[in-house]
Amino acid sequence: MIDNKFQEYPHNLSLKLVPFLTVVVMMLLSSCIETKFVENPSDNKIVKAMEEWPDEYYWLIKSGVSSRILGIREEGESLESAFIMVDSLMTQVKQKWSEISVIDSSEKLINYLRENKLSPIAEAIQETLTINLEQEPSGEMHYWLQANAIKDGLIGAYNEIKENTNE
Amino acid sequence: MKNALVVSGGGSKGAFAVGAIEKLREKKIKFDIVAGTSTGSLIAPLVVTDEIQFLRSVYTSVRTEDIIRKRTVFDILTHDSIYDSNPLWSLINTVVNSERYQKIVNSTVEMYITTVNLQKGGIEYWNQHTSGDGGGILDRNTLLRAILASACQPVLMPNVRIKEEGNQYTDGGVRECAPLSIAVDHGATDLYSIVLSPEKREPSNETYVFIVKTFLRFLDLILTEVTENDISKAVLYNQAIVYLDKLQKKAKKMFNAAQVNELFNDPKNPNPFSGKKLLKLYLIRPSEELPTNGLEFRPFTMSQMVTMGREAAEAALNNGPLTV
Repeated sequence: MIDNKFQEYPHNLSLKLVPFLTVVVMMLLSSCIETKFVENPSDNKIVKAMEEWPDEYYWLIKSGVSSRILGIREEGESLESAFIMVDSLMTQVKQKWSEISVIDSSEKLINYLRENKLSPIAEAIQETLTINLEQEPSGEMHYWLQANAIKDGLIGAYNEIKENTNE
Repeated sequence: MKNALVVSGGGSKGAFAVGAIEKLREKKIKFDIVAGTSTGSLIAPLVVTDEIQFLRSVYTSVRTEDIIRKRTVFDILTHDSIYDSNPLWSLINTVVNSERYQKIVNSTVEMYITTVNLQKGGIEYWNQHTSGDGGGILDRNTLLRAILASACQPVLMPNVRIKEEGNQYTDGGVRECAPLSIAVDHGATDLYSIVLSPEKREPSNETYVFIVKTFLRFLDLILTEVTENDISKAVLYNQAIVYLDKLQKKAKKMFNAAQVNELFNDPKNPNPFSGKKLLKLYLIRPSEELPTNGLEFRPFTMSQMVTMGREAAEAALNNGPLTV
């Protein structure tokens, strides 16, 4: 008898629970709230920070350097091996950071990276500068800003790649 | 000659399109028409203002939380979508600020944003110069809402009322993923179409248990199907023009000029391809599956996709337009 009760119990429970839950879910679904989009929402902080000159130029160089380094990939290379290559290059940059951090011009920075077998990174920086210079010729005047933006971009790429390693 | 850029949908895969556009602009290719669906609609405004480096910065800096916000189970049951897209709304407002909106309106480049009207069930395009009240300039708020609606995948993201108390709209990819037809209808002859899925697809090794994952796969398959149909329509259009041209040449050898004219310019049976030109269709698409499900925005994978897009655009330009 006891056994039977044990068998009946879950059955009885589910008989009551299922309709109850169904009613609750139906009530919730029937009272769905439409998502509202307010006029003039708050700004997206990342994009807002890219906005004003010379900050805009600084951000374009910084994110351009970072994204071009993260995008380093030989033709046909898999995503995994590209990741390993970028990780290895950025680890070397980190090891040499005490020397890199004091370099105060983009030209010297690029030369240093080329001389220290970090050419893919030097090319990524060069490409970013060339493209941005086309759009903003006065950017060349801000060479000190460039060097800082490049270094910020290197740190950004390093943090991003390490964040992916930790996941 | 009229150049059109057509960017299809695919969420974060849009980074591939950004790389391809960067390469096309480096090759000094300019666009008279820019048409986009979903992520393509997010890209379009910055192509119109020609701020490609800013576009790259945005697409390689934002993260998933800048696009969508997860809801709790209770919130999902009591709201109209699984995710909240208010972060994306904020992002669109920041990117297309008043100054940039003015540039878009003043530009001679025609922009078309593809949406689907949920009540009417049809495709609706939004153009900055003609979609406003009485066929005039589109106001900023409506334009931004159209961009948002175009990028909101149904069920996953909320439907959008582009006009207050008006109909609800969703992702244009539901009906047209690569909006080639609107570009052709507006006189495009050279089409640069960026598609975010490879031609040959590998079987998926995933097991689909989680509802969102299954739904994403379902959406992916639908978008791929819609995209392939959009492309095949353009190819069929070209095939028809080539065929009719050959037929006309053959007829000229067999009949006199009046008879040929009667055959091909019969007012009772107007030729739908009369006066239409052969399209130069440059199809830019990844050679392999892009490394994201479209809803994840991560700088590393986005940067990699930008590189892949650049390579694919280079290859497409070297290969030349699709031949019939």
